[in-house]
Amino acid sequence: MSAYISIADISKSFAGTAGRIDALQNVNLDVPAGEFLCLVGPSGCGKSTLVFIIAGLVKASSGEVRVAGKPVVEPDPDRTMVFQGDAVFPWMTVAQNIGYGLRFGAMSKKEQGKTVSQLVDLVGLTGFADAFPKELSGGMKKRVDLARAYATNPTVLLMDEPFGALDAITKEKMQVDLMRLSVTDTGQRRTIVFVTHDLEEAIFLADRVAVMTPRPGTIEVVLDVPFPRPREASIRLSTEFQALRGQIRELLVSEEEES
Amino acid sequence: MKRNELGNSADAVGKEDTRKRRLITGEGAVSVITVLILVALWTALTDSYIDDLYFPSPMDTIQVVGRMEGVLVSYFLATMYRVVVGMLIGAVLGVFCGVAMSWNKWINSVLDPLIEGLRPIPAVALIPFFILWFGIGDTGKLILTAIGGFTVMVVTTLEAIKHVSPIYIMAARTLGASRLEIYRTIILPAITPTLIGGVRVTVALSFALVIASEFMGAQSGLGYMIMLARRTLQTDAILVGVIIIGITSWIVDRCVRIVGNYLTRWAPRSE
Ligand SMILES: Nc1ncnc2c1ncn2[C@@H]1O[C@H](COP(=O)(O)OP(=O)(O)OP(=O)(O)O)[C@@H](O)[C@H]1O
Ligand SMILES: [Mg+2]
Repeated sequence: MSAYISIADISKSFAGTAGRIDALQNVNLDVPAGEFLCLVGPSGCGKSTLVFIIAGLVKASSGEVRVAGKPVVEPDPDRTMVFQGDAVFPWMTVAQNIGYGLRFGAMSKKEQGKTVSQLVDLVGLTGFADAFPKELSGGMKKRVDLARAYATNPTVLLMDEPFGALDAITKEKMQVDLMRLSVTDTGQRRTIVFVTHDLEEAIFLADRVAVMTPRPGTIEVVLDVPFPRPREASIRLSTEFQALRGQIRELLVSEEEES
Repeated sequence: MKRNELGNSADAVGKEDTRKRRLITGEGAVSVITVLILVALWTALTDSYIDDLYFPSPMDTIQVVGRMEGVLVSYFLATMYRVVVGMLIGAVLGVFCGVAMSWNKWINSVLDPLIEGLRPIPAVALIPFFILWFGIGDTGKLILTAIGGFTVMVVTTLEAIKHVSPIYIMAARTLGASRLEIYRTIILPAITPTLIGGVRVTVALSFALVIASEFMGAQSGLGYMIMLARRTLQTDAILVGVIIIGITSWIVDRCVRIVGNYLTRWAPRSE
């Protein structure tokens, strides 16, 4: 199993207003090509920070992240990201937002337009291509964000609690879509790091779930999720699913008690 | 994904406002009544209590417009030229320097002391120097107005850039945007709403600076006309000057707001 994303001894501290904060300490994690990895852990344990470091947006204090063998020094459109907050550009229309990453590539204007309108339909925003984000609901904006991250057809997708603010039903729909979109145009599976605090979401989506400790965050365990794909929504009700959920929950609760 | 939950999507893109647009709304009617009452009060007071010497009546004011028509137009144009050109030069340079200063720390180190030195000085205080250096023609007035607008816009631009939400810049970076692209496609649109506010301040300031410099030395312009009228105690001409300045300043501000609203039509507004 070759590591596509390899995280080696990553530590990160911030000089906060209330003194130094050690957000991450000696994080080690290998994600093989095509894996869907979910990252769970208590709030403030450094999940977003870790994802930013993988994206190349934040520099680690020490350690190294490699993607496809190359050290990460800056962001790359082959490794796009969906942010925890609302990152849809309010001054661009839905179509302009989704096509943003394509402007800098080699694709012709015409092809860009085609890709964008396909993505608009794919994420269920048909008829809203020329709308500004202020005219969209929170869930619709998140779909713009997703489509924008898919547009450059990246091999790595980094997703920081993308569905955190959505209602249960919308969330389930988006999860199903995500599974469908987790292959590239050439049929290869994308490598996905997906942060969530929703354990059912983590188990439903992931090949493996990495559980982090409270701050300073580090990887406590990485659990395999054995369910075959494609997965039906109903697997959530199975005893194996619930047993795994219980196991992760126990881990998080006992962490809580220790700290 | 099913589309039905999005409703009739094509329609949903429109405005939420479905009120009919009438020529005069209730609020508009109230404002018109206020103006009418003021004019009536003005007429009544200048007919009885107030001497023409101190404040002219509405009739006098209207008559003076007829009497001075030709010179009024040329003075108005002279003032407008100074305001608009001076303001444009100042604002464009201000935004440009603000962006350049945030782009490069060396440019910032060079310009920052200059701007910090200029900012606390009220530009009007420089008028005597400008008359000395450039005489009483257009040049000095344009430079003065430009300096006023420049200081406002440079500070506004720097402040606005500082407050652009980092999440947008990060998102653009992950999608492959270069630094130049980020300035062009993220920072400039993000600061536009704040810049519009700065431009409105600049408009008001530019009128003040041009009028003040026309007071102190000029051969044309509305400020010059008011100054002449003061010497000869023609209060009606003073008032005409004041009213024209007020109306044009309001119209220019209105134009800035219309253009600004268009440029920031994407921005959520609390009405
Ligand atoms: N720019 C920053 N400056 C200072 N401290 C920071 C900064 N970014 C994050 N931190 C701190 O680092 C720690 C980890 O933050 P991070 O956002 O990665 O947590 P998280 O696991 O994503 O939390 P949540 O689940 O609530 O999103 C927090 O204690 C936070 O206060
Ligand atoms: Mg987070």
